[in-house]
Amino acid sequence: MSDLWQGPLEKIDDHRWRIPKSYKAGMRVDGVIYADEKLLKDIRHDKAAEQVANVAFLPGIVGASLAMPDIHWGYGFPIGGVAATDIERGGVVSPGGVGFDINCGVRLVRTHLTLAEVRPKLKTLVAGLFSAIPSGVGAHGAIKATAKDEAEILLKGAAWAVRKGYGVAEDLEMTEDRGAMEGADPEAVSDRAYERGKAQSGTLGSGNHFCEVQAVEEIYDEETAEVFGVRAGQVAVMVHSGSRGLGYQVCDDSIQTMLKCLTKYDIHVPDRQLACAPVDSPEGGRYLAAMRGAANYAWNNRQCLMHLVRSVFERVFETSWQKLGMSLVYDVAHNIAKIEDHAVEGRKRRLCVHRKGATRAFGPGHPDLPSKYAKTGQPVIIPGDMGRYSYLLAGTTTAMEQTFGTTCHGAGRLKSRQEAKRTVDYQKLFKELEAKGIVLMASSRATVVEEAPSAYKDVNDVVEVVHRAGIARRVARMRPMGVIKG
Amino acid sequence: MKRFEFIEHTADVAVRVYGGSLKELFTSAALAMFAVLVAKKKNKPEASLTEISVEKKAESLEDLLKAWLDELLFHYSAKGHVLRRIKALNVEEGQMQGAVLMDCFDPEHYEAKNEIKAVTYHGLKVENIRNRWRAYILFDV
Repeated sequence: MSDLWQGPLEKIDDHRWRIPKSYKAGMRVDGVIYADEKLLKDIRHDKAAEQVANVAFLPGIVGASLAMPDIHWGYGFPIGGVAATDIERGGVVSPGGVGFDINCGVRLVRTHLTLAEVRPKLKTLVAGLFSAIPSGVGAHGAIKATAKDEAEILLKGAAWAVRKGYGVAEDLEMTEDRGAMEGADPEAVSDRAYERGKAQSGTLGSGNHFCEVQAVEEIYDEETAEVFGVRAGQVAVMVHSGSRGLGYQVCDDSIQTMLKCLTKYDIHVPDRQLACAPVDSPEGGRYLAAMRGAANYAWNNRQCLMHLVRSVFERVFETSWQKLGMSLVYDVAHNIAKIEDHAVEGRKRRLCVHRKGATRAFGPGHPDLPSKYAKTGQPVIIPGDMGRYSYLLAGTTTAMEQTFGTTCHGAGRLKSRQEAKRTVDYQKLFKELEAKGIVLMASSRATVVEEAPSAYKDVNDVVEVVHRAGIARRVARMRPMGVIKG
Repeated sequence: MKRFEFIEHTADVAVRVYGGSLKELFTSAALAMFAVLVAKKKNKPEASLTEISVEKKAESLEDLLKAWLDELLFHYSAKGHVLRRIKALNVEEGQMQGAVLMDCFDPEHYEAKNEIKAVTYHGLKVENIRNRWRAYILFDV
């Protein structure tokens, strides 16, 4: 992208930059981007900052239209965008503020295994994972769910998988919202959405979705790491997937409805992809009911994927997953809208918090967290790229005060897919990964090239900003050993 | 005359499509979308193809174009149908009708490329410039 974004970015402090609401007529609040000078340069290279300003048009928005340091150009909302609207003051919900992949998210499973124990069996393990986990376009799940099951999945989320024996009750305890949001309505989901999601439970998908075997290489906070159950040299597995075709269709259906709401409720937004409706309108309510169903589908999907991962480890290491210590550290959503209570100008307000490529980062003492994490704040899982590292962070009180309990979600793209195709050679990349001891298996070479490490910002830089700004704190860093891509 | 070209976009796939008529424009858009989704390895005989008819109405050409692409994307993502040939297509302001031949995806004949989650409204535009049609479309991948 040759044209730099020329809008105003006023320095608030070393980690925050303001787009004043005077920038564009119609902005109701300022835009605030979390970044340092280095990341800010990249941010000016596309139109993400303009999208932060556009989100500030949403009726009922409070605080500021926020963006995390992994911000990049999306459609409607930027990826890395966060917006909270006050429900009692005409606050809206926008499907574009959640995105097509509703409850795309990540889970981290720890093991008792060490790097030295896994290394000799790594190739067998990765091949086993690749064959057990359906990935890529059109993949059908190994998990069989009937039409009746689908409705139950939308209502009960990951609890469906646990009932079927694909996990244990403790897994639910360690999942955001215990793996199911209340208020889902299977009737609010269209037949087309059901059809697109049919037989996709327990499938990874393509694009940036992955399953990675990782080694914990650095601990930043021993005490918290101990509570999270991670230690240096230990092997863990990270799974990144979402609500598959079902969620994509729910979002698309809702945007079409919400476009009509712009006229009906006299709402003015600068991008049709920001179509929205008041949270307490019939259309807003229906979207949230369908979105929650899709979110529950995604939690169930990641629970099924974890079951497949555990089964492969059991076969390769010839013992039960319990003996291998394969407990879930946590599961977080990073594309979601939630009704939450937050303090706004000193008063508790009921807000609709949109996190579009951003992770909930509730701090110590929040009542929604499992008791195990009451003192540490919630685990926040940040995937990086397939060649470098990923992070485990913890939520903070500062995040509760500044960002509606939210932090970044990943590295954030740097290069377009076109540019990645022009600059990355598959064979060379494969060899580079091999030299680092990383075993890669993928359904599509094109996807691997587009998802190459060089296409992403350095997740170190992103995590550095959220850590210094205090909206999450570093606990551990993991590096990839085995990568499965769609 | 080129039918479509991909444009730089950080996270997703943006494409500009062209046509001398609305029929050509809609054809180009369908071809561009399937160029993102799959690459053909080998031909299959036409006898094995499924014919699908599409009829859409919309207030604007943008919405009509999206409705057409949405329909084809649904067949691909829910049923694994790959576009092989547009048999008939009629597009005018407000409505379109078409008949397309679709193949069943299988890894022997096709390579799956990107998964398109949706055809977005972001920057979606259909224009007539000096008697030629062009459109900008952003696919979420």
